[in-house]
Amino acid sequence: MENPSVHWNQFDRYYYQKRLVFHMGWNEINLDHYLIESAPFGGLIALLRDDQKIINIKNIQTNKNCIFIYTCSGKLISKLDYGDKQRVKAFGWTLDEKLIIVYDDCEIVVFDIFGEKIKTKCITSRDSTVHLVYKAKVWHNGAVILTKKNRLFIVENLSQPRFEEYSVPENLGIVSDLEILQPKFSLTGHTEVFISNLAKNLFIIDNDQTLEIEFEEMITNLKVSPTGRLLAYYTETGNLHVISTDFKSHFLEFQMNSKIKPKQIAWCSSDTVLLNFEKKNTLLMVAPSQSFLKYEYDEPLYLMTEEDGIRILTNSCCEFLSKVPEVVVNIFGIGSTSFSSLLYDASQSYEKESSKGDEVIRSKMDLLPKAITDCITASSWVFQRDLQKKLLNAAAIGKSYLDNFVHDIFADMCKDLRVLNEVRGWEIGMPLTYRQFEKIGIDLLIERLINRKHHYVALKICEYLRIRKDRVLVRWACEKVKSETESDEQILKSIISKLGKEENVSFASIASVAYSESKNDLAIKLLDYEKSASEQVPLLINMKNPGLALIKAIECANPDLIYLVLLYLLNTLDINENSLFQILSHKDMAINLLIKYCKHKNKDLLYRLYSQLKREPKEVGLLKITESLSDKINLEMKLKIRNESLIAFGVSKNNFLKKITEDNIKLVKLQQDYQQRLELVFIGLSINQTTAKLLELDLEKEAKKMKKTFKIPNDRYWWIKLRALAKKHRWKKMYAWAKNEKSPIGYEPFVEICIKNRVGNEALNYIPLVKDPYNQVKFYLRLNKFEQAADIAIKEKNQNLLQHVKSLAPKNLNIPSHI
Amino acid sequence: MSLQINLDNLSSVPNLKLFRDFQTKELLNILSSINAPKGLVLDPALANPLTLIVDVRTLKKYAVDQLFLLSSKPFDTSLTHIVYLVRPTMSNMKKIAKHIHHSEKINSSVTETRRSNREEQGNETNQKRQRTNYVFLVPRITTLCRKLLEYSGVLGSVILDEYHLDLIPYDEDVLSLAYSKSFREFLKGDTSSLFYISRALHKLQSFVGQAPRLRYYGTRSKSIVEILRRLRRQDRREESSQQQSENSSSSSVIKPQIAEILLIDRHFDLISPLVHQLSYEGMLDELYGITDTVLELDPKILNKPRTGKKERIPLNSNDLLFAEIRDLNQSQIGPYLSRKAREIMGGYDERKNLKTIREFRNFTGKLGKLQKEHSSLSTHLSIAEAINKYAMEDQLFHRLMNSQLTVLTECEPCYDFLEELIYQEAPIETVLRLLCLHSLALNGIKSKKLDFFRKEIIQTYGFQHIITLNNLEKLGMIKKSEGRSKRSYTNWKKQLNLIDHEFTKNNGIHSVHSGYAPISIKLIQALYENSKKDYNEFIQTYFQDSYGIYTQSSKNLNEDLQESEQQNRNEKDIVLVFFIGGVTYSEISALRILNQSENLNVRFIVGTTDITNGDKIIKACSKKTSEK
Repeated sequence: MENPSVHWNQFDRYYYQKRLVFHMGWNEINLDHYLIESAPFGGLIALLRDDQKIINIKNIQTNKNCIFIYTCSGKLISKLDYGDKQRVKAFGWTLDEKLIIVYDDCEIVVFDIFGEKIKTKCITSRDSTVHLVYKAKVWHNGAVILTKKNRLFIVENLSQPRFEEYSVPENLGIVSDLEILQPKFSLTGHTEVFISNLAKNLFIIDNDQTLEIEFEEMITNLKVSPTGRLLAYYTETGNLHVISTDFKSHFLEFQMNSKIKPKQIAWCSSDTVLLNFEKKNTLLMVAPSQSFLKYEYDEPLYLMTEEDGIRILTNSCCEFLSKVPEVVVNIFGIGSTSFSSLLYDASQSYEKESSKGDEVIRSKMDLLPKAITDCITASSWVFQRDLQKKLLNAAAIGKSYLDNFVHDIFADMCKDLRVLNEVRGWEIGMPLTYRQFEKIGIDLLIERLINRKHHYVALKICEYLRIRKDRVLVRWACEKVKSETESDEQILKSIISKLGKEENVSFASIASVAYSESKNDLAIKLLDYEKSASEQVPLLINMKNPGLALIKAIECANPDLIYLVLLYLLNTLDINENSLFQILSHKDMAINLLIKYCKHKNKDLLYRLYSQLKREPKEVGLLKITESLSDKINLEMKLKIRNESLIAFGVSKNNFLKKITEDNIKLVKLQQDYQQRLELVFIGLSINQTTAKLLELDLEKEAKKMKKTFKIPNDRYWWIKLRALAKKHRWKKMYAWAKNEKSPIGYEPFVEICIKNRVGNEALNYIPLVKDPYNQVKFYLRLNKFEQAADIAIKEKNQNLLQHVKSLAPKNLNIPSHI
Repeated sequence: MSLQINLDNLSSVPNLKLFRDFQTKELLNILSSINAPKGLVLDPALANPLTLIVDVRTLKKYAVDQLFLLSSKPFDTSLTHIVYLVRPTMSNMKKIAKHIHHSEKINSSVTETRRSNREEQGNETNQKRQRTNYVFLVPRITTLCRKLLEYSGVLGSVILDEYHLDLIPYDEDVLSLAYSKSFREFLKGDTSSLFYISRALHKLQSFVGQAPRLRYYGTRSKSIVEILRRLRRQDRREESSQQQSENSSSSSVIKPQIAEILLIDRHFDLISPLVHQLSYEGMLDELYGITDTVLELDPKILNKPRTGKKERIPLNSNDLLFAEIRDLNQSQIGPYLSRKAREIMGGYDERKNLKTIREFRNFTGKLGKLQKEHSSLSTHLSIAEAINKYAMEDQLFHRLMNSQLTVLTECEPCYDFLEELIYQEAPIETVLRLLCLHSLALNGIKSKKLDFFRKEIIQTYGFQHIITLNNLEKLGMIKKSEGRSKRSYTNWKKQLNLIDHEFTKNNGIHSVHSGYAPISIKLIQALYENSKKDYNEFIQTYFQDSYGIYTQSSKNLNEDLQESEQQNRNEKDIVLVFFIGGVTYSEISALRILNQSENLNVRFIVGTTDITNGDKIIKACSKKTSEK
């Protein structure tokens, strides 16, 4: 095998290699006839026929209004029909390979590669004038549009597109080129727009200001470097300049002395500029040191700047030009003495079963770890599989000499290379370098594969790298659902056979595709497999299937989801009450939540619901009572509702409740009467309170009437009267009452209430009336009447009691110690 | 004053602190994400629970310049960033909507006046007046609240988000959702809180590990187990999708620190909360009301000058003395405290015998602790005195305790006393508690008698109690007497030895109600104590098919468990007893007493929706009058 270094070109201080990646699989494509845009990171190529070129294509009619989408290996993915109403003014790619098109009427559309519109955004102006595009430029997450009336619009985030307008200087004139500095590179965090014009000006425009620089000659081409730090421009007299994008430093001036305008300027890495002179079929590479290198071609070229090199596309092949990294130079460079190179050679001699390698490796064990990692790193750069293998083999042999080498980087590299080799194959045709792969990450790579419908490869990669594969499966299933050849049954069966056992698959998203494809039955069946009710329920509501939605919401007992359905049911006009009740039948949890809601919001519905549910009339009656107790309604209304409840209680033969309610209505009427007569508040008081109030007002007759009307027991009446008299301090009246009538509640309450009101002398009146002598003693003691207490004890002949009294009494009192 | 519980104690669940701190951090992250001086508007229902999570000083540090309690009255402030931290209730949403309409009105009038003197004042100040309103719902945004804000037309002018505060450590062995409405919601047939309980337990388990066993008693408990299983399934799905991205700690990796979750439905034992609590902490709750571990007392009780404000006393195990006495029967408090007082005085007296400098240094080291104990002692001495005075002198209290015990012990009614309570117009809660206790313990009340009491109650306390009584009937707390039932109280009493008059001597859990032990706790004791008696048939009759054990550990979890079991063979397994619908302080005390028993090889900690008592249960059944 020849040494890889034979293909290197030394240039400036470095080696560069132009590697052939693919022979194009397309037929009869002449790049000269097309406008071309390719997605970064080895992405797809879009070809739009350049209508300024007169050409003769046989099937021009059938391919009208088409953008051809090819892989880098020239395999046709699709013909995207962009419509015949508008003209395409600019196009480009998102990172996950969706095609962005800017039409001449300022509409921006994002398509997937099979022509489905994903996002559409148009400038809307108040006066409904149509803006026409003068110049437009697209980058992976945005676009800039300059209209014919010199208005400049920017879109920065295509997932939620919004137009922002920058003010444009009046002297803009005729534009020679337009370039963008992406927001992530600019100091302000906003997109910056560079516009050069025929009047030799360069304008730098951002969201709040415009900078104008006058040049000595006209700028024809502008190109920002991949890191956004540098700007290369080409002037009409054939000078190439490189300056910093903040316009503070000037790095290069290179005189071509040629007035031919290059078709493209591009960057290889961030320090070398390439000029594509179409008419001469030459590619000129210029280094910061002003040294240059010329590549001759016999066919048209298209250049695609990548992070770590440049992709060169011709009619016949796809090449990749990049700097040879130092680790690789160290291994394969002629006369290299680095240890990695020795390790590589040693591993080769191992192959030949020579022991020379062993000595070499053992000679400098301290350098071995670095040599191993160098071999691993180098393997990431090379494209040929056999060379990758040899380098990894060298690393493996070196590794076997070390006990503590961390295995991970080796294993990871093997895995990553296997994945990269797969996508670099002709079939997928994505010439990703390892650096680019690191940059876009596995997620985006998988996303690209899914977008290209390489579900199987994507799945295998996920399984191989052990990352989550549900996304792949779900997207596959979403495609499957769209199938028009298979029956719903077949589709469901094949989806379940592949996804049924997966733990974390969102069946709701598959179902939602089925629904949008108007396959409702399939959607519902798919939803059955969804484990998360919070995903099922909203979709079922969307599908206008509230019944099933409610069942699912109840299944998981989540009140929020139940309310979601209930509110939908209540607010959707085409659902009448009968079908509401039908949906609700036997669903207690939902019914109870609805009742709770109705109590706040919709009382009428509540009663209809009760009657629909055939709730007992007693319940209805109690509901009415509850309603009547609200302080938001007036008395008349309260009585009306309470009267209605009487009917319900009557029906349910609930005599107790009926009686109580009747009493209440009677009470309220009496209270109304008192209120009018006495001009005092009675409404709201209980029967006890009303009676007490009457007694406090000395309206004994009225109180007696209350007693009779409501059958207040005598005991309770005495208690009420007792409290009423005490409250009004009518002690004399109380005493007279106690003397005239025999108390049914005893006289203890009389004593207690006097003590409580601190009228001890009054209390003394009643103690003799207390029956229980023990209680008498207790009361006397509480009032500090020790002599009286002693008298009782003596009268009762209770020595212990007497002793107790004596022990509590002050010493100076003459309490006998014996009976 | 920080009310946060010290969770470094070795006996608590190790990751409980992590769990609490996580919730604290979430709040602080919310506050620091709003990078401006702000006014914090708290739901009164959250004000106390929040003090267990974060203290006011920390809030100040996070640029909370003003604190408000949410009321329907809009407040005035010059602050431009207002953060509402509220429960997701309809009335709260209405209040917030009102505030926002109010401030918008003011704002537009300000703008107008500004516009008229445009020369004097610039645009900038104009903009500054614009308020930004953040509404954080605790613990979740609900569909209804979102809709309500939408209907009130303010959804567009607030930033709506959630603060996931659910289980709050009330102590090192008590976790509460501080959600007092669940009992009332159950009564109304609204079982939403089961979902929220499940979510909270699920979250807890992501910190302390998946409890290998779930044990449940009652239909509500069973539902929770079902929801938990569903959540777990969903979780596994998310977990496996995260597995590759970060191999960090997922719940299945944490070794279970709680061996079992026991779910108990409050409705299974409605008797115990009705019985007056006589443990020290329970008694404090009955007499003065403890709100979220804080006791608010009239300064007079503490022999302090009246200031018009109530004295706030935090009740938790940070107060070592309180931790010792909280579970004792109130009659034991006096003697215990005087012994303690002598001990402390003895401690002070040590100083008289100090000779060397070293001894002095040692003594001053102890002095801090002594002083702390001393101040706690004087507080509790004052409180104990007040309680004792009440217990001794209040005639009604004395008779109430006696009649309760008669009903519970002899299953004989005390109707006369009940009648007298009504005639004396004792608090309605007291009356209804005793009435319900009669009905539950005696397996119903004779129809005529019941109608009499119902009429007496309605005539005395007002017509609205027709609803209260009906609610109590719905719950089965009041019923007309029927024939004998196997599920009756007498059966429980016999099977579980609910009564022990010698409670002071035996140091058992009967002390929490002076002779009666809560059924709930007795059942738990029976489940875990290695007794010869077989309760199976008995439990079967009561719970029918709504009890069981669900093993939720996977295979490798079991291995983990065995491993950890081997590691700490001396450590008892921890069982989280979760009460759905509330637990009383007496019940918590009883569980703590059980924890000291040698016959048990498990240790209980308590989880609950809220801390309840008989009065609260009766109130939950009464028609709310204040709600507008």
